[in-house]
Amino acid sequence: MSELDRDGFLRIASTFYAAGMLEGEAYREAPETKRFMDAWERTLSKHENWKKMVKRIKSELPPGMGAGDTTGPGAMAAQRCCVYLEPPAGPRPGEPFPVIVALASVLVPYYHLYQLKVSIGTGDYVSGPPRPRPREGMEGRIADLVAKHIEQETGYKEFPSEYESIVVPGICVRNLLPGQATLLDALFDDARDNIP
Amino acid sequence: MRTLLLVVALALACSRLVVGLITPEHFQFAEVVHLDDDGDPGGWQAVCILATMRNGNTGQDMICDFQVELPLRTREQGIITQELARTAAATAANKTAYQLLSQLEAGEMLGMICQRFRPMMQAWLGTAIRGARVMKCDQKKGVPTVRFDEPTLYYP
Repeated sequence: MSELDRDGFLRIASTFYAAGMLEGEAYREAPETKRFMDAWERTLSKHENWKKMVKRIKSELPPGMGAGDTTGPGAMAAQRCCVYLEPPAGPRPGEPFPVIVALASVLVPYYHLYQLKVSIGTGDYVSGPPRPRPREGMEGRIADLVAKHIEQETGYKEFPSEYESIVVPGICVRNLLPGQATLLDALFDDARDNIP
Repeated sequence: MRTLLLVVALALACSRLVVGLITPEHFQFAEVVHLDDDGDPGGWQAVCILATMRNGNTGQDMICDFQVELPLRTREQGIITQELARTAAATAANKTAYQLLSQLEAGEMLGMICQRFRPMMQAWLGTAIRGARVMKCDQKKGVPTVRFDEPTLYYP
């Protein structure tokens, strides 16, 4: 597939999400919903490859860090991998550590990386909003490692950051109301601060 | 576990009565993505619930569907046992139903309730199980659909 531009991304997003707030059978039988579920079916038929890739990433991480296949089919629009950059001695309660989250879209051949901070043993697990892919330090090196593996496994490109916040008019993406969903919400995940 | 749910069994607030409980037994989760045996977060499970809500004044029924989706292991909590998944889901569903229906104004569009229900339940459930999602039922292959036919009654 040739490189997509703004209009191309918007057109594809509208292909997989119905306009308006459909409920029940009307939602499940909408052609857009069926296309979305078919895209997931195709992806899940080869999901073992994603799992193997996550294991390869994990094998290259410094001691103490972990990586998991946290994909939630249908609950998001992407296969997901979380890399937990815990300190070697383990996290201390209330002391945040970074998580690099990778999303490989099931709708377009693009991936997206971002960073969260989480703390164990406190009421608030995730602190602060998602932050852009880190480019420096240990976080940057881990993000590069994850990106390299995703590109090798899928042939996907990184989603252009200039398109992230463009609103897709009309469509209803999961729990968002029409007019709220951005391209990042529609093509990847609309609850990016919500990880296990 | 049922006793945990009695918190919202019968509630009277703002002069509006809400009666009825969904129980942990309704949440028969099925595995969607296998959990790897390596100690890291992952795996995925889901169940679709078709819940009946009845306006006690008019007898009008509305079916609200919601699909509860959970990881099988989280970084903070480790393995999510079926008992925890079911109890947390039922508690969050009952809290949400009570919160929404007890504040419902007479004549308010019933259809809007489902759309408000899912994100609110997701927020409640996320405090108990990190990474939880609540969305419309989507007929995902292998995900059971469970009917909650004893309607939650509300009197707006």
